[in-house]
Amino acid sequence: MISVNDQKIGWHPGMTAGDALREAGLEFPHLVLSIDGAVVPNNEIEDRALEDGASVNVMLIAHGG
Amino acid sequence: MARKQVFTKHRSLFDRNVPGTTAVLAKKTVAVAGCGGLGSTAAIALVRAGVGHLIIADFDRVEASNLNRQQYFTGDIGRKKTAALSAHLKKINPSLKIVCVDKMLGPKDIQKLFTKADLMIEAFDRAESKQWLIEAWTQAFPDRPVICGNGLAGIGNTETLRVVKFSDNVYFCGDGKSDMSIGLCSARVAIVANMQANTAISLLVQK
Repeated sequence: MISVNDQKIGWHPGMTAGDALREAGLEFPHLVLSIDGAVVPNNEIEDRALEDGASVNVMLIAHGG
Repeated sequence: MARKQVFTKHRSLFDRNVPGTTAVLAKKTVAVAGCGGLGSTAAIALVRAGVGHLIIADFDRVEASNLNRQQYFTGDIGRKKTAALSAHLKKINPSLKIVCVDKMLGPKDIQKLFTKADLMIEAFDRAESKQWLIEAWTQAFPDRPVICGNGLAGIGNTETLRVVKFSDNVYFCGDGKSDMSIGLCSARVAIVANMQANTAISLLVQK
């Protein structure tokens, strides 16, 4: 089991952060993702492996400043 | 004005500060990436609070359409934003030390340009720029905070604005979703900018 923004999601061997985003319904053009508190570069999200128990935080990013 | 009067006047700038904060903030360096609605407003709040050193970065010039929410005046139109903002900030505190970076930043600039910064205020307008800045900053300076603006468009809905501690040193201020395509209003942009500045000041005086 992993958590994505406090939502519990089943873990499976080989699961990546990209898989977790899709399962949580958080596909979005711009976001920042951290695993256990460490920010993951955007170009590594798709293939970054997740361990069982990982805590994934996702912040969707809006234009404006 | 006599030299003595000027000194006395400036020394009293921070007389109404929260006790114990002035000497601490005077030694701190804050980077502000983007001098638009968020960056120009946050910079003014930081200088008024007593932050002694700023590094401000923007490649753009002031346009008339900026004046509905950014801290510039009609006489600034056509000027580099960094130069105009620097001049305004020095009018608030003539002792302020300020470095202007007049270029479009990229990820490779972060380590080099902001080595002396204790903290970063992310104030870009494009989501993709916010994204890479957070990534680059946390890689270059994992122990230094970056405070981001995220979701500040529209009007009203003040109750949806909040500060989120995303990870050890990454903070987001705003509603997290309103996009500038719905329009930007000075009051709501300024609230988020001041949430960023307030978070920054709080972290700086804690360290």
